[in-house]
Amino acid sequence: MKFYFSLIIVFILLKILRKNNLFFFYFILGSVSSFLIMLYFGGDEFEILLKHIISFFMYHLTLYIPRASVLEDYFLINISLKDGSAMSWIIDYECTGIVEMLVFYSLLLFYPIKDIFYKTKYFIMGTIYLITANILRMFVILFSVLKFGENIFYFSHVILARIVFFILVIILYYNVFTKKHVRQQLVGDLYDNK
Amino acid sequence: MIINKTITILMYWISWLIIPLAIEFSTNLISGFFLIIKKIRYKTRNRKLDFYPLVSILIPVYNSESTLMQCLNSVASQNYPQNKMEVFLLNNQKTRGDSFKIFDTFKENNPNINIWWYDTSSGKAKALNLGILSSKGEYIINIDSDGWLDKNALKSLIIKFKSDSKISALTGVILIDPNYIKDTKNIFLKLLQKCESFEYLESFLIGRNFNSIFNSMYTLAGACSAFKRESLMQTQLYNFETVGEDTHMTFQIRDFTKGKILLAEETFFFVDPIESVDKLYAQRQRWQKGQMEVAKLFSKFHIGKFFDFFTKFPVRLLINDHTLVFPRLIWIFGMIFLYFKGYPTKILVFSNVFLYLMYVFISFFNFFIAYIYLEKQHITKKFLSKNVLIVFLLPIHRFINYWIRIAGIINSAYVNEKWDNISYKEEFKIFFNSIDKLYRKEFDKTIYKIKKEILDE
Repeated sequence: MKFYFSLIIVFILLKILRKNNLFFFYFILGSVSSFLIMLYFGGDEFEILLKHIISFFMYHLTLYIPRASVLEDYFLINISLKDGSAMSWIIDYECTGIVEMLVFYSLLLFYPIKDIFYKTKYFIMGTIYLITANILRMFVILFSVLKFGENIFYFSHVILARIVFFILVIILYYNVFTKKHVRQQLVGDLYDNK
Repeated sequence: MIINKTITILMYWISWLIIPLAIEFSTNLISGFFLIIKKIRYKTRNRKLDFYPLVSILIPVYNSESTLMQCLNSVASQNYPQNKMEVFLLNNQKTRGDSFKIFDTFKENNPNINIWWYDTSSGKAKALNLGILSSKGEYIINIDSDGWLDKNALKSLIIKFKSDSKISALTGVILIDPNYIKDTKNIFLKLLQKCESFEYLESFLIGRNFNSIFNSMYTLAGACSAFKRESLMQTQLYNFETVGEDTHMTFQIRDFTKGKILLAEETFFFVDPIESVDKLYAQRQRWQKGQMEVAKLFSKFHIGKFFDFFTKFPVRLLINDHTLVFPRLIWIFGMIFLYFKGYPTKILVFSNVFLYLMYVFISFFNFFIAYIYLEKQHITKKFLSKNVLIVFLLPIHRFINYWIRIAGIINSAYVNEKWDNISYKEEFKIFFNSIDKLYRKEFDKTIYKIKKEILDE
């Protein structure tokens, strides 16, 4: 009940901000609240869905990699190491990249781009891109463990794969937000602003 | 094992800040190393001038009655022959005000200096263009009327121009005049001004100084910049369509002359500190809007594919100033998310403290390097070393500027007319008035309903 009440308050505030052309506060309140709403309404379900999608792709892709396999229903990745031992890791909420996806959605929703078609297009493409980036991140870990053994797992998981993912996300943000913003930036009257 | 686990959880969300921090940290270490070497090498250079060329000094005048005299006096007291300089006061306000009297007095007191008054009343860019076309000097120097030149400024600029024939334009080092900060009574404003002093020091003597080594300076400071006449004449002069006319000029010079744009590290220009948070809010947003506009006008420098990140410095800068701003928001979103997930508060606090201390370290390191370049600026040196503990506030100052930057980005997408951004106080006022109105409207409705019900009964 409290939640729905605050939802109404947020909605009213957004309307007021928008009406008075207070764009900055509108953007911040809009993106933060939409993130929380998405998290509240579908966070867990979305997380499970993402786990299924990622383990589905991981399962099919690892079919071609010797010494690695995925238990699709348990979101579990198994690797047999060179020394004969085995290790496994679970696709947890971090691996799904759910935070990054919801943040992307909430920013896209409220970023000052008037083109609805553009937003819809990048909502879909961004989703596909982020899932792919996530799978790539998993493969960075997988390959580094296959190549260098269990000891590398920690480093790879915490640092290397993060950097790869970070770069990929920056590329997405640069293309979706920065480039678009520069293209639609209005300057003076003499220039072609289309 | 416990440490490992902690770091793992920590890295989950903090990587969005750790990676930019690590980039900044390493860039600062590298730049510090380069700048120390540069300083050592620079000492051996010849710093004498055999011939004094004619220099035109352009000063746009706008609401500057209180500071104009000091500015003009600083020009008169240069260790540069007075008959080798001409000064243009370019009035771009509708009335002449007291500035004209100041001009008159100055002209009487300094008969050796050629000084002219022009009325333009159509913005800074157009005023400067008029000055450029009216002047005859081999070198053209623009300074703001709300600051003053160091005694050695002109001479050091010309020496720097003469040191390399490929130099097209130079920017002076802009510093905050410590004397003005002393007069500030409001303690918070005073702290803000002190932070700003350190920020300027870092921005010029670290940022632009390092960029100069690789000829990758993004903006010539409008408050004090110098051009070779022949370079300026190859451009389309100052653009009056954008609020970032300084950056626009920098890109024109880069594009049309292919010459070098460097920092004159021995030319100092002192300005007033910021007068209020409101002014800071408007100023930083204007800078951000200027950057976005110039990015649009010079898209070929700013828009690129993946590998352009390594070859085009404006792409790198735009990623830092625009793209990275949003993943940094993830940190705040991430914190909310982790709070929902029952994440230990201790770790959240610890990681924030860690980040804070790292930024303090960066600021301190930069201060140390910049200090070496201050050389004979004894008053500034004394002021800065006395207030060195301000570095502990700099991360907060950065954080405030970060939010204003987002405001600048968002607002620049909507507002097209010439910069008339309202202050944050006004924004709050509008917001609360609206809520008040809404509340009153609802209140009136309810009262009306109740009245009606009573009447019906």
